[in-house]
Amino acid sequence: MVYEMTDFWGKSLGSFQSFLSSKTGLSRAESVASTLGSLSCQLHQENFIKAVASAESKQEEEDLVKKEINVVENILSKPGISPKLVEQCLIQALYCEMLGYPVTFAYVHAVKLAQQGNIQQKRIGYLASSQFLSMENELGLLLINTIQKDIRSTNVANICMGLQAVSYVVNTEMVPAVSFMVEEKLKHAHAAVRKYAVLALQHCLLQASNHHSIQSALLRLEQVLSDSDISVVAAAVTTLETVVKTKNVTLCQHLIPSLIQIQQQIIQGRLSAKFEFHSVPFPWLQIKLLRLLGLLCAGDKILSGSVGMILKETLQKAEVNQPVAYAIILECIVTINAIEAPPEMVELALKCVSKFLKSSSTDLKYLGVKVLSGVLNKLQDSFSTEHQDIVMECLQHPDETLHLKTLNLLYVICNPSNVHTVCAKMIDFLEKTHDTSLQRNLVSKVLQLAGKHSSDHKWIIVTLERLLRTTDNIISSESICEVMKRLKGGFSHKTEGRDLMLFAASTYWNLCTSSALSDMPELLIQLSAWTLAECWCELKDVTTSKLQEKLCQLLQLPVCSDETKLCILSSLTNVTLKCSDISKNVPSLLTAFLEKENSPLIKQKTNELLRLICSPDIKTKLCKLPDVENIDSTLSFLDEYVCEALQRNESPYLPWRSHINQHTNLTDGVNRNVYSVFKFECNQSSSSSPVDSYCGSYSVQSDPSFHSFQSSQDSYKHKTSTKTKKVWTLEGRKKENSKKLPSSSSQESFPVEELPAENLHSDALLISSSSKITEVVDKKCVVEECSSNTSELTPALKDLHKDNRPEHLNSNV
Amino acid sequence: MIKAILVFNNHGKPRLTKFYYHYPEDMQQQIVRETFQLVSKRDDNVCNFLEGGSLIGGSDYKLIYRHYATLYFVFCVDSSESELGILDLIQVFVETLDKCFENVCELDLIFHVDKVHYILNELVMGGMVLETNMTEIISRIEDQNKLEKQEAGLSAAPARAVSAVKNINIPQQIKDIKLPDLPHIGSFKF
Repeated sequence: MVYEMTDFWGKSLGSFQSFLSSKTGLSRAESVASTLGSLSCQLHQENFIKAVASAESKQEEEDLVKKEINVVENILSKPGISPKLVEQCLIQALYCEMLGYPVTFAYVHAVKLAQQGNIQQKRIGYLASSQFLSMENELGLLLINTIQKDIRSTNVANICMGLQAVSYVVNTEMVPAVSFMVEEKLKHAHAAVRKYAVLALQHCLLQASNHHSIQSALLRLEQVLSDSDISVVAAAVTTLETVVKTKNVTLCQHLIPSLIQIQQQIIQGRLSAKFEFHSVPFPWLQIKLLRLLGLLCAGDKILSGSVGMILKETLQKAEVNQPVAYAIILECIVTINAIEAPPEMVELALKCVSKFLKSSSTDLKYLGVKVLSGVLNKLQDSFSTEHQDIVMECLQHPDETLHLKTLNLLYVICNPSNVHTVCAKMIDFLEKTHDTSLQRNLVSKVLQLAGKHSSDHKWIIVTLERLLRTTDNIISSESICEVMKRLKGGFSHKTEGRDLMLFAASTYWNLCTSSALSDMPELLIQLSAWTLAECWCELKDVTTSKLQEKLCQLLQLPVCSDETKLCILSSLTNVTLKCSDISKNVPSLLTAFLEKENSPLIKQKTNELLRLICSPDIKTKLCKLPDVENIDSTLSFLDEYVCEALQRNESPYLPWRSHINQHTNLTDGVNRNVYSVFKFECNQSSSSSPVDSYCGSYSVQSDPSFHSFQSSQDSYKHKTSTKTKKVWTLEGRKKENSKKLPSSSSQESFPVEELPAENLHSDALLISSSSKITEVVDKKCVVEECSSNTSELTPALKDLHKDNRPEHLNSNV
Repeated sequence: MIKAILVFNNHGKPRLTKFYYHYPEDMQQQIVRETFQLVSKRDDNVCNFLEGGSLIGGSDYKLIYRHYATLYFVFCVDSSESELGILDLIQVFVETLDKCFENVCELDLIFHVDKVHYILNELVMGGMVLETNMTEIISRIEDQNKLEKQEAGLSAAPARAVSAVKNINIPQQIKDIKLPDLPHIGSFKF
């Protein structure tokens, strides 16, 4: 009997199967194969995942995944595979891509699967597309057709999938293709479809650039606000918020009454119980409504008045002891901050914020601090002591995020009376944190506060030192220039200037003579060098020679970059010019330094300095120079000389640019290596020859401060447009090189500081007002290195002879 | 707007990554790594909000995270989202997962990535919160599953039949067949 039974079962099974397979049209073998195939595939997937999870090392995981990707790629590349198999492959591909191994070959198959395949496969296809594709990916275009078909279909599931796909694939060009269909679906019978349609519409609005379409879409959205299903209304509110934020606030201001009404309905409990979350009715929608109301009423007193009532009611209803209720309260406070609220509302907000600050939950403390700054801005009176205590307590909290938020708050409420404490706290934090973006943020805040609120220069010096020690590589040399400017202003103060100079000089002298010299951050070295050059005379016990030797020592520090060296060199120059006695060691130190240096610019400056030191007569001549205003920047006093030279058939000067344009060969004896020094200037955007620009910049700077430096740069840049009038006069200058005095600068106007090059190349300092000698001497240097024959620099340019003017302008010698 | 949703385990292995703003592939991995580094350093008594890090979106974004057993759920949002609201949204997400998978654990996320994505797609669409009601989401998921089963109905029948038959343990079934008791006829006495 048993055998009969099994036989019976066996026969029925067989016939059952063939019955089913004949029904569906698949042949029996195929169906079995496919089912077995899918079963084994699933098993394979599970095994693969298990293997990856238990991989011992990254390398092992990589090998496994790469092998799997190859397998999948092979399968997918075969023509005519079943959608089921594609589905399985796509799931594998998704997993691999999530782990970080790109599977670009699978993208196309995802799109294809979304097109064909049954519902399940369509879903996988769309899911894979959403993970793989983006708005920039061209495969999105292939998907558009499918999306359009799906949105128009009668099957609700298809419509939903199509609408969802809109949000990740449709870019600006594709919007017209789908927006009309999407808007139609706003009236669909099924609530879920309407919901998806609203958010798809939002995406289209964000991408659309056409104003007209925005208007019509907004009209539709307004209708949706009165939808019977509250989830759809929620989606509409979200969309409105985005639209208001990105487009125009005024577009939606007429909706304020309806929004208030919706909020009232919610808090009065008119929604069904299923929308309650922890006994608070639909909190997310409340939050969104409040946020939207805040955006719409910002800055407008009348509108703000209309929402006052609802805010109060919401606050009252939200007295429940639930975390979500706190979210609502917080949102009310944010809204109160945003609108023009009457004082009693602001008081109410402050009371709520105090509750937040006093709570034991760190989250609530954080949020309290976050909104406190907004509330305090509204309140005219200052920070009460109670709040101060709480806020200071937050600074002691171990949570770094809370700490940071409190510092932000302090930044907002900073005023001249508390700027010192605030900055001190910020620097304390800076010393502890390692996150560079945070550091950057804080450093800029400290500098801003110091600049805005503090007039105590001594404090600035001390704080800056502390700051530089912590975050040297973040502060820009621009900020240092600003500080130098301020200090200079402080030095020239009638009564306190000398005192400040003494303080600054002694601070920096102590720094420079301390034992930890090698630890000094670079910018601090620059600052010290500059200040000491300005104020060392206030220090009684520091003689000039000591200072000069110290500066030379600073030069040798390994931490110095080119910029810093230039700064120190100009400080040295400054000191040398200001006083007569020069230490005997300095020239030898400088020469030793010179030998080790590679940068031509630095060598140049050092040479110049050495020359200054070694020839005191130059100095005296410098001191006797007349005012800067009378410069003839074209050096017309050399006209005679130039005429003679030209008559001797020597070639006239050709601007640098023509050098570059012509492919002058090397046979004219020019030492090309020399020009590598000046290559930078040709790279500068609109610049013509450097010489041209020198002409330009000889127009006059007497004030060495930062701003004039800036303007000299500007004039330099602008000068490039006007072609130099008397180019050839410079040629004469080359001849007369070192024996010729620089044509400018009197003693007083001799700029004292060499401002470190901010964002410009350090080479651009050549053109600075402060280094006119440099310009001449640069030319000299160039000339010395090639032979002193003028002809080599200038291939013939006959028309320059025309400029042979013998006039003597108001020459100054 | 929500910029990204990341779920990773205590060792930083990603279990679910969804970006609502397009980043190139390698940047996505970097974001996951950086987020993990930032989040794993945090104590349990600090707040659930993080700012800092330099990768996503510049200064306008923050990370809101929750730690459940072995998984971190991290939402990267910009300033237009309410922090506490998002915290509760994460709660809703996890509760929904729990309902759909019955005591969800990390393994469920690993082996059923597609299902988790479907649930997430009901929660957030295009970076915007779509639905916050757990029962709504679950009913939508169930509708979709029903639809799939219906459509797959006919073509999946052979598979189901084969697996059903495989599960039948014929000898055991035969042993277990309970034949009805024959009615007791009294002793025969001819």
